[in-house]
Amino acid sequence: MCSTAFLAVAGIVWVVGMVEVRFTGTLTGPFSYGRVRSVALLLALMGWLTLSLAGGIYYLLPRLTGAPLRREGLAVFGGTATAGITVVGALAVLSGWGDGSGPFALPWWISYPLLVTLLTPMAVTVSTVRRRREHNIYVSLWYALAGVVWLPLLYLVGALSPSSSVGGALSESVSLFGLSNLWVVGMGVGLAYYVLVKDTGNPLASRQLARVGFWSLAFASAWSGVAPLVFGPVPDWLEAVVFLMTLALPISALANVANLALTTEQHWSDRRSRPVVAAALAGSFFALWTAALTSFGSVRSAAAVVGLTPFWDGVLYGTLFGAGGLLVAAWTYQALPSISGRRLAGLRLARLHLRLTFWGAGLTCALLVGAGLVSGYSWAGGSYTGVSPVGGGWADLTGMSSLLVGLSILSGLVALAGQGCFCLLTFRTFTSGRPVAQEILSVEGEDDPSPSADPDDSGVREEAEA
Amino acid sequence: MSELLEAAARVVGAPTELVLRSAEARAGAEGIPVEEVLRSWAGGDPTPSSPPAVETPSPTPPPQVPAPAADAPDAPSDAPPDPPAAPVPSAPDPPAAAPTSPPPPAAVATGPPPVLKGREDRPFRFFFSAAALLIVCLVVTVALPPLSDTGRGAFHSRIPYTETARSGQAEYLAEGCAGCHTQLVRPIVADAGLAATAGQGGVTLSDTNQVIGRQRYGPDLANVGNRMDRAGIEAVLSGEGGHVLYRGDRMDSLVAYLMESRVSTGEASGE
Repeated sequence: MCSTAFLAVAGIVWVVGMVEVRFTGTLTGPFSYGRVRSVALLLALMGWLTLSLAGGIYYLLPRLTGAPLRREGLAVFGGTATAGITVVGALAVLSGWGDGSGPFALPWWISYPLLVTLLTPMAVTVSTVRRRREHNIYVSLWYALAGVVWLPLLYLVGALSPSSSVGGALSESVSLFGLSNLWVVGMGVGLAYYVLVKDTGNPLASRQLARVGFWSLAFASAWSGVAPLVFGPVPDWLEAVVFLMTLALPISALANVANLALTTEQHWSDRRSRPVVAAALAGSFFALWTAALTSFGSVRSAAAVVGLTPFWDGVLYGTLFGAGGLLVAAWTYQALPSISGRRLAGLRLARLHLRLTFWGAGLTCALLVGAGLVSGYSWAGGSYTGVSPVGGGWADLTGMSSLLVGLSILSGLVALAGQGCFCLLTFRTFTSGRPVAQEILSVEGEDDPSPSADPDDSGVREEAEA
Repeated sequence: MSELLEAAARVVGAPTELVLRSAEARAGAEGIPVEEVLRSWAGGDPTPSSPPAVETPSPTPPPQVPAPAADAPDAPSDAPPDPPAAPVPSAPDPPAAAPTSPPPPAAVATGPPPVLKGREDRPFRFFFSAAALLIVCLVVTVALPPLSDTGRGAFHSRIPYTETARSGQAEYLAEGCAGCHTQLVRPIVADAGLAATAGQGGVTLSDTNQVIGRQRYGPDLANVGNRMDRAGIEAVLSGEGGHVLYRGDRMDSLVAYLMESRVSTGEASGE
C-alpha cells in the first residue's frame, strides 16, 4: 500500500520534470528540472520499487525456505524507515538542501541513514535462510539472496562523494543503472519466476536457462552504468571492457524471457484472464527491450550519437516504469489475495492498468530514445555545417528533439493513468474486495531448526478462512 | 502411453509433465523403454533391469520436503514447496558412487518411487558470489579510471577557482544544474564546436574539477567563461530565455563559478 502511494507521486513528478524540460522556465524554484529529476528517481527507486521488491522478498522467504520470517520487527522497521527517510529526502532536495552527489542528490545526513535502512532486507533474508528447512534453493531465492547484497552496495557507491569529478560522474551513473538493472529488473524477474509457477501450476521450464539468465545478469549489469559516459572521461580500455560486458545483458534478458514464456505453456492464450501471467511476460519483454538499447548505446559508434542525450532517460524510464512496474505488478496481483484475504477488486481494472502501462511506458521510452537519436545526429550535423551547439545555435539544433520530448509528456500521462489504475485496484482490493480463502502460514516447532520427520509437515500450511 | 502416464501420475501425485520427464530420465539411464518405467510406477510389474541403487529407496519418503526435481538436469522445476507435493520419481545419482556398492537385484518395486534427491544447493554461494562480482566491477569502473589520467591524450582541466566560485559550484550542484548541463568536451564530431580554441579539436577530460554531468538538455558549460561575458550570464540566470531565476548572493557566486569555468590550452597536460 505504501509503495503504491510512492508510485503515484513518482509518476507525477517525472511528468512534471519532462514538462520543465520541454517548456523551460514554466516551473521554477523547488520544481526546477535539476531538483525534480533527482526527486522523481528517489521516489521511484527507493520509495516505490525498493519497498515493493523488499515486500516481495519477505513474501517469498517463508514459502521457499519452509521457515518463518526471522527478524520480522526489523523488516517492519526497515520498511517504515525507508519510506520516512525517502519522504524527508525528497522534501530536502526540493527545498534546495541537496548536495548534488549521487543519483538522488541527497545530503549526507539523509543519505547514510537511508543506507542503514537498506541493510535490513539483507539481515532478514540471511537470518531466515540460515534457519531454512527446505534444502533446495529455488531460482527466486537466488535472486533474493543476490538482490539484498546488491541493493546496499550499489546505493553506497552512489552515496559516496569522491573528490574527483570523474569518479563522481562514474559512481553516479554506475549506481543508477546498477540499481535499475540489477536490483529492479533482477529482483523483479526473480519474483516472476515464483509467481508464474504458482499461477499457472506449471513447473519451471528450464533451470539451466535460469542459471544462464542469473549469472549473465550478475556479470554484465553493473558495467552498463559506464555506457552513458563512453567517449567521456573513461579510459579506452574500460570502454572496450564495458562494451563486451554489456553484450551479455540481452543474453540474460533473452534467457529469462524464453524461460518465463515456456513456463506459461498452455496458459498463453488465457493471459487476458490472468493478470499475473500478462504482467510478468510484458515486464520481462520490456526488460529485453531496454537491455538491447543499453547494449546498443555502449557501442562506441552508437555512443558518439546517443551519449549525453535523452536516449538514456528513455532507457531509464523503460527500465523503471516499464519493466520494473510490470514485474512488480505481477507479484502484487499474485500475492494480494493471499495477503489480504480478498479477491482482486476488478479484473477489468487490472487489464486496463497493464494495457495503459505497457503502451504508455513503451511510447515514452521510444519517444525519448528517438529524441536522443535526433539530438545526437543534430549535434553532429551542426558541427559539419558550422552551427555550434551553444547560444542561439543550441535552439536551432534541438528543435526536433524538443518536439519528441513534448510528445513523451503525453505518453507519460497515459502511463500515469495506468499507474493510477494500479493504485486504485490495490486500494479497492484491501477495502472492498470480496473475501476469499486466505492463506495463513503457520510454522510448527519453529525453534527447532531440524527438518521434521513428517514429509507433509513442510512448515507451511494453508488454511481457509472466509 | 497416456493412460499409463496418467495412472503413474495419479499414484505419484505429481503433474504428468513432471512424471514423464522423470520417467524419460530414468529410462535413459537404465536403457529401458519409458513405458516400462511408467508401468512400474503405476503399480504394474517391477522394472526388470533395475540400476544399482546408490540411494536405497526407503518405503517411507525421506524427511525432506519433497522438491519436485529441483536439481536434476533432466527434470528442471522451480515449483515452490507449498503445498507439499508427493514424492517424485528418482533419477539415478552420479555414477561416481556406483563402484562402491554392488548392484542389488531389482531395487525398484511397485509403490511410490523414491524422492528425487539432487545435490544440495549452497545458498550463501549466491550471496557471496554476487557480492564479489559486483565489488570487482565497482573497483574497475569507479575506482580505477580516476587514477589513470596520465595516458595518451589525457587533458586536465583543474581550474584554480576562487572561494566565491567554489560556493557557486556548491550552488550549481544543489540546484541540479548538472541534470541539464554538462561540463565535458568529447573527442567526437558532435562536440567539435565546443573546443576551447579554434583548431584545437576534441579533447578528453581525463580529470577535472568541473561538474561533468550526464545529460545535455541544455548547452554545455565547460568553457562558458570564454564564450560569454558576465552580463550575458547574468541575463540568462535572471530569467532571459525562460531560465530559472536567481537573485542576490546566489547569483553572484554562480556567475563567478561560470565565469571562471574557462578551459584554456595552457592547462592541458599529456599530449
